[in-house]
Amino acid sequence: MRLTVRKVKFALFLVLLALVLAGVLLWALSIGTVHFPLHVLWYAIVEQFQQNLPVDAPLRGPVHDIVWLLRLPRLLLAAFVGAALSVSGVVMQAIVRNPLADPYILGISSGASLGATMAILLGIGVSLGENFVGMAAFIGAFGISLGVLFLSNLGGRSNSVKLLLAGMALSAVCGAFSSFIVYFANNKEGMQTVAYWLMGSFAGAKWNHLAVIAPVVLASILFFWTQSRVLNLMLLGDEAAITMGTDLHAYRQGYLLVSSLMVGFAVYSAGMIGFVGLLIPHVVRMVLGPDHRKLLPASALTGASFLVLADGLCRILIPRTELPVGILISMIGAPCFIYLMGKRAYGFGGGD
Amino acid sequence: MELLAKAVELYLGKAHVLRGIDLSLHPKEFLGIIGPNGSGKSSFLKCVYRVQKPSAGTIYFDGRKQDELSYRESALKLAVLAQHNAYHFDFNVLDVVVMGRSPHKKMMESDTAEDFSLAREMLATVGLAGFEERNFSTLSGGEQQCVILARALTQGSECLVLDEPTNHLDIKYQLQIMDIVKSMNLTVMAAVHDLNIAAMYCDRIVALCGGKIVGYGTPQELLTEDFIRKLYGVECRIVTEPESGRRYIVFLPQYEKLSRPEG
Repeated sequence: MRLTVRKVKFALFLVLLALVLAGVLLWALSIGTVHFPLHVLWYAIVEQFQQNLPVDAPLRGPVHDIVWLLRLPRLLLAAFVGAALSVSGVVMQAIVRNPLADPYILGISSGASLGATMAILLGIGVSLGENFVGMAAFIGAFGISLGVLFLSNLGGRSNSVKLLLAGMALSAVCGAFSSFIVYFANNKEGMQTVAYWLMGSFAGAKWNHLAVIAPVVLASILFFWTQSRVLNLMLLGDEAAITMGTDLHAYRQGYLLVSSLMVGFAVYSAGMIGFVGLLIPHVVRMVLGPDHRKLLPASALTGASFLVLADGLCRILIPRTELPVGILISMIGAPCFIYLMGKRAYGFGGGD
Repeated sequence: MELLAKAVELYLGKAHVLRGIDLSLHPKEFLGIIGPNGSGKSSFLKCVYRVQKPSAGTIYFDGRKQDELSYRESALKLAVLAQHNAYHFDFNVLDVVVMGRSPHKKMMESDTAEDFSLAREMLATVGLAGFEERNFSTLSGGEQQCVILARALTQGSECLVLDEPTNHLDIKYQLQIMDIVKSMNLTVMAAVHDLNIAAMYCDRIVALCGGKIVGYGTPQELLTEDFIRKLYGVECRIVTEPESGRRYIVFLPQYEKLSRPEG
């Protein structure tokens, strides 16, 4: 019976996290250049559901437009990206069996940067539509994941060490090409755009982006949740997993692809947002332990709340200026991370 | 479970590690594998528990070829207690033990109350009742190895492979682990370094040297002063303890021959 008590406790904990997320979303909806009290917000939200009009129908009034066209899509995007990066962080840490891994560890970040740099400075992929920089970054991110998989399988089966080495090698190559392009393009404005893009932002959020990202992220998170048992075994290593009936090789490759797809979409819509995928899994693991059945949903909800909160803070910390969210997160994230590293009670990188 | 190895060969890179191993393991038998370092004990066991793939030859589980079985099927037949179990994450002890139920589970299936009570029971069997919520990585080496033994027992397989399980453990845990394994009445294949432990627990012993089987028999038949000298190059005497009639191997140091004459 203690088992059911545990399950109920955990379910309540998830409900609590969901309520926190809802609360943070409401708070972030209300703040900004114009502050809306709660009843105005409530009216604007309820009205949309009562009237059977598309969100972007004209003449719906400024409150409606600010809530529904500016703030809500952006906050939802922040929530989805936060969930995606946190879950991907959890999965990557299991795949490479190292608690210091993050979603970008296998070179996704440098692949995305190279894609974005090529798009911005060389104009490659302009035909891909309005968010062609995002598309190029997505292709770069996903392409490098395929490359890492391919390289790590050369000369025998891949394992977590070979994955890490392949990731490092390809990162270096992509980084070199990005620098090469930046150096020879001699385009100051373009370089600024690249730098700005790399900081990450949710400002460009639109409903039609969300319609693509939300299902991908939700489906990936659910998929990983069903894989909790294998993810737990991954933490024990290949040999132990085989003696318990699971060959991790194929799973690792599959998970890597799903994770890069999810992170690729996050990069496509919001650029590079660091630290979330490293920090959130650790914070949640400190509270709940390493069991993925609990870790995955809790990380998704916590990551979502964290990014919504961060995005809200970015809009109000400096009056009339918006701080790039990536900077804020690194400013909060790095000290938190250093604190975690110092806290030895938490078995960071093994007990002995 | 019945296990049969036929002409098993293994190359690791250019090294010819196993040179044609033939052996059989009968149900409920406790088979020891001895031999000096580098003789191929661990490599052979790794082939048995499928972490290494033999370069040639076949291993049969209950008459079926090993590679015809899925990893899950072989895990249901055979559980493993190996040497290295360092985890980089903070599992608690019960989490680690209940993972032994993995081969019994489908992907989405979660652990039931029965799984947990079996895990607790096995923890009690290895003498660690009350350790359920402890952090695995904070336990001593001996306790950790007992937890892994509990996990292997929770797996519920008929056959247990011990890959030098008591290395680095103090004498209490060496004896305790072997006692528990022996008392479970399983089919056991164990690589053992300590010849006295091998003699105490094994029904039969196979001796490996240079990747070949060089000796085979009951402890009494096999472990003679001559054979041990040939296998390990050490001097020893076999003595009989009068009360139990057990035979023990007493090793003789050679430093007197090595020490240089003074002056």
